[in-house]
Amino acid sequence: MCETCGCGNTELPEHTHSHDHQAGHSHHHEEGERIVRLERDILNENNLLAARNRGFFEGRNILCLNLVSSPGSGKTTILEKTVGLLGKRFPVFIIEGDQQGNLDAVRLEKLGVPVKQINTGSGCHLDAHMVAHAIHDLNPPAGSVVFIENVGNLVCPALFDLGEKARVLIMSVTEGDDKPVKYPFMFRSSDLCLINKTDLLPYVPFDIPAARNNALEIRPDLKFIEISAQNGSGMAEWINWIVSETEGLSR
Amino acid sequence: MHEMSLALSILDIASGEVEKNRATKVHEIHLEVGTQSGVDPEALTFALSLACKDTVMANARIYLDQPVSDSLRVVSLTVDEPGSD
Repeated sequence: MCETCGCGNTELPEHTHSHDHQAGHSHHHEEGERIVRLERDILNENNLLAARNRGFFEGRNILCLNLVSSPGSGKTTILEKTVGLLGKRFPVFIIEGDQQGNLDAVRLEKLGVPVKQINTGSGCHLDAHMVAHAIHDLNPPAGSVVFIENVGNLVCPALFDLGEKARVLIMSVTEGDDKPVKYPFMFRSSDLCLINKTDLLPYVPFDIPAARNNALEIRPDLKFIEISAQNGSGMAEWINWIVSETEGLSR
Repeated sequence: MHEMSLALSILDIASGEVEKNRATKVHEIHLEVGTQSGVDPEALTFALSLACKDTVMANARIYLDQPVSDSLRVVSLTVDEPGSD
């Protein structure tokens, strides 16, 4: 981009060998070389597709939530229970991301909701392009709720906007309460944290206030709901949160 | 290893610019990988070395700035002038 007026001319006129680098390396450019200034986000392509997905959801008044966590935190069980509690009020659609197989999709299809399985193969995260295809196949109608169950991974999915309205991070009390410190990028990019498996609290050393404080240091406005998908405690609060998120959408 | 996806995105951006400029190869590339971006610079450099083999980016010099931010950008490229080489 033109550095003085931002006119979008990405090419500098005839290279002048006068550009300054901030970093301390010095070199000269050979004759016959041209510098192309880009200042382009590496995730630009993904972000554009995510914006397109977001526009699709907004246009149809669909609430889309991106569920992220480490493997084994209970995402699929939470979804099973959530579909049971929410399914009568909203049409529910699920996009299921796993490296291999369709075990979770089979589990969720038993509940009678449309599920689209995405296998990422060697990939470690869903991206906006995969989700765009899944939306195309599912074709959720106006007023539905779309859950994206991301690949179980607290690292890579943090970087990839899928077009969701909110990112819901699930941590379970069988994990360490220091997870937020170890995986700050995911905690920083999430809007709600579900602390799951609270029925196991008497048997594990997980310290809920410590976990909350660790997470709040990274994301001061992170919200928390403590739940047990297994015995149902806290699930009403989670459902209320989902319903309140749909209220921001016009119907 | 999201660094490999990012390396491929960088390669896509670079290849597009090479084509737009009717160039044939990238001599150097300047990247900004913020310390808060969630990307490991060494893993990214390694992924780039694999992704760029036998492409317009092969042998390109990589300059990497690490500002204290979450930025993740291709700042600039140096390509050959059309007709040279």
